[in-house]
Amino acid sequence: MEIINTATPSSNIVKSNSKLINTKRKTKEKLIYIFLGLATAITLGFLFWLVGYIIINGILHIDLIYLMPAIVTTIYMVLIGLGIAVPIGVGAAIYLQEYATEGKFVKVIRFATECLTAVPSILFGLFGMLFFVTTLKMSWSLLAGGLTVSIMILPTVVKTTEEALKTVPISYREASLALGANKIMTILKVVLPSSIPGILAGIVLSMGRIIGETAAIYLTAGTVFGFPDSIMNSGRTLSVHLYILAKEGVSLSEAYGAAVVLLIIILSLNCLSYFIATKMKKLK
Amino acid sequence: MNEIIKINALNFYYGDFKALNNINLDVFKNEVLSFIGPSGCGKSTLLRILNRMSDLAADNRVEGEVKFKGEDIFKLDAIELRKKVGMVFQKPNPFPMSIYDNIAYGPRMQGIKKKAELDEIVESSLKAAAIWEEVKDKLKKSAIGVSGGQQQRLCIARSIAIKPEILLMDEPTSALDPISTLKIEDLINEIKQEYTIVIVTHNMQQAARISDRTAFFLLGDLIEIGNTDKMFSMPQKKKTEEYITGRFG
Amino acid sequence: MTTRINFTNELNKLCDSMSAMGDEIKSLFEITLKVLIENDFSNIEEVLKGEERSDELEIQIQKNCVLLIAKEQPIARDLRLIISVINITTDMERIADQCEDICNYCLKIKDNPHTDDDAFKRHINKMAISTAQMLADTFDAYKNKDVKILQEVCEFDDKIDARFNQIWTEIIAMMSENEHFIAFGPPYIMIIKYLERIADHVTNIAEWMIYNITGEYV
Repeated sequence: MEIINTATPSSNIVKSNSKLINTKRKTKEKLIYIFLGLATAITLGFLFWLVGYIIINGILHIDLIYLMPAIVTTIYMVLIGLGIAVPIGVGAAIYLQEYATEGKFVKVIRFATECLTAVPSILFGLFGMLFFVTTLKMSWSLLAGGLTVSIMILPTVVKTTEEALKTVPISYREASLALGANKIMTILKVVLPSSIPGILAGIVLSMGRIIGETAAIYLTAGTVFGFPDSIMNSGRTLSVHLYILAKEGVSLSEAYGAAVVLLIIILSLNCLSYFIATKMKKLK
Repeated sequence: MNEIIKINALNFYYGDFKALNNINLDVFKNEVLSFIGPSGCGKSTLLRILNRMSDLAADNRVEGEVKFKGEDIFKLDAIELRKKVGMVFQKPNPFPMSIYDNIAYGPRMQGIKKKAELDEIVESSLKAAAIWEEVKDKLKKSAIGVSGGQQQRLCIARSIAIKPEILLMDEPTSALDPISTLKIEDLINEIKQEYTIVIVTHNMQQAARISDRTAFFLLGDLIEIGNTDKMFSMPQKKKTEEYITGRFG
Repeated sequence: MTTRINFTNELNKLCDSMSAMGDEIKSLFEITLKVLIENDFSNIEEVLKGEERSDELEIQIQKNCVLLIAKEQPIARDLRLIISVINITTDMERIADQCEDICNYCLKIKDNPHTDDDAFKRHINKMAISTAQMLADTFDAYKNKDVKILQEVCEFDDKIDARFNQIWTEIIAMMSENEHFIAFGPPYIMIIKYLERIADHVTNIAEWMIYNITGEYV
């Protein structure tokens, strides 16, 4: 009996101690929770504020007919940029992922690609202006602009394609080889089809970058506003148009109108990439 | 007995690591031969040498000879060899395409394009793998959508579709539930009339149930090979007995 | 799709070979009855041969059982079947032995045949026929999975034991009354002892069959 009696108060101490620790921990948890919630609220708040602000100011000034040349030019730019970057980028990714044996060379290439992603776009613009526009005498043209943006998005295409190829299980490759397929056939018939959603997501991302790009295109494709006749013509994409409208103070309300269109395009592209990504997950 | 595969003094290295040590072993036509042994004993390595999937391993080196119907497999074209020696893997790995396309994949690779011919191959292969009744109404549906056990039988059907002479199976049921496992075992029992089957298994009881002969490996050595009946009632080597009675490994 | 087709086939084969062995034992016992009751020694060679064959059958069936246990890891009713087959074949082999023994003792008293005219011989004949009936009933009941009849067989063993005691007393009495009978007493006592043993084995068989069907030990 005595033993039990002495034991009881000490166990009470332990209990109250643990209670204290518990309350302390709970307060800590609560603080962290509040901080995290606040951070999210601020992020979302700014996003909605920004989007809302632009839409409120621009929604009444959308003039699609007036903007059509810029939209068409943007489409051209996207097509040229992707047309050049996607085949090269996907090819490079397949080489790196499927053929190259892991070594110094591949590591250097990977590092270089990462660096290229981090280079500010104005530097691409400068390079494009000096090399394509001046040295190759293309003058300010859609081609020069397209080549420049294609170099700009190349790392993204390579990276996303590589990631997509990586997600294809080795077991698919083994199964294909074990069925008497050679390597090329395995890549074309099994690996690439399974990674197409991932590659597409990368392409959509790159499209967004081209559409949103201002500096590099401004320096290489020029600012002529109108429907381009050929890819050697200068042209003004939507972003560049927006930049000029805003900078030169021609018409702020028109700038907002263009901004809304740009916003809608970018948002729909993001939705598209989200859609592709979910579809990819479903396939797995 | 006629040997379809003859392995002579085979050594295999991954880099400096010797994975197989002086293996001498014959595979007879139309037998089910199982490889058992603890992890890392080299049984899977040996299996993957038989259709040269071992080529894929980085930094590998082979010594000795493996003959498939009298021909040195290392001198054969690996792709041609794999058409004769099919393989089923541990995890069911149907391609993310329709059931039909999965089965037709191999034949298409061999240049068969006529739809009627492909239809026939798909049907007969699925029937041979005892899964035709279950999937005949959803040939155009994704192969990923069926159960794990069915996927594995699809993979067996896919291997059968290229009409190999030997089927290698690398732990084909280790990812499956017990009933699916027994179905695969029944299937193996059924198709052994037409194929020679070499199966790697971690499940000793499975080896006992399905194989005619069993080979026991340990640390890259072939310890014992013999009739499964004998092996599981009265093994010759102490190591084998200890392993199959669960005393080590 | 049913699974374990191969195993099921093997089990069926096992049952078939057990039944076949049972049929042989029955016919051995019938020949023994003829020897004992009708003094008909024409087929006695078959009993000797049959005893050897039953030894072989026992070993062969039990080997198969061991292989099946080693290879197929039977459980539940599959395991019960195999265990009961092992035990039943042992009992059947013993019955074959005892048929041979009965025949050998009959040979010893061959020259002075006792017939139904002697009360004790009449009782021995009855005992032998009842035992034969037990044996036949047991295998029939197993074919029909009739547990009730199997239980009756087990109970009937007590009657055989009672008859054994009765005949024993009769023989002892005759030996003390009749000097000529002293030489015949021991062989007849051995014969009824073997008959009693056979009935015991049949009871064992019936018990293993009940175990096989219901899983209950009797």
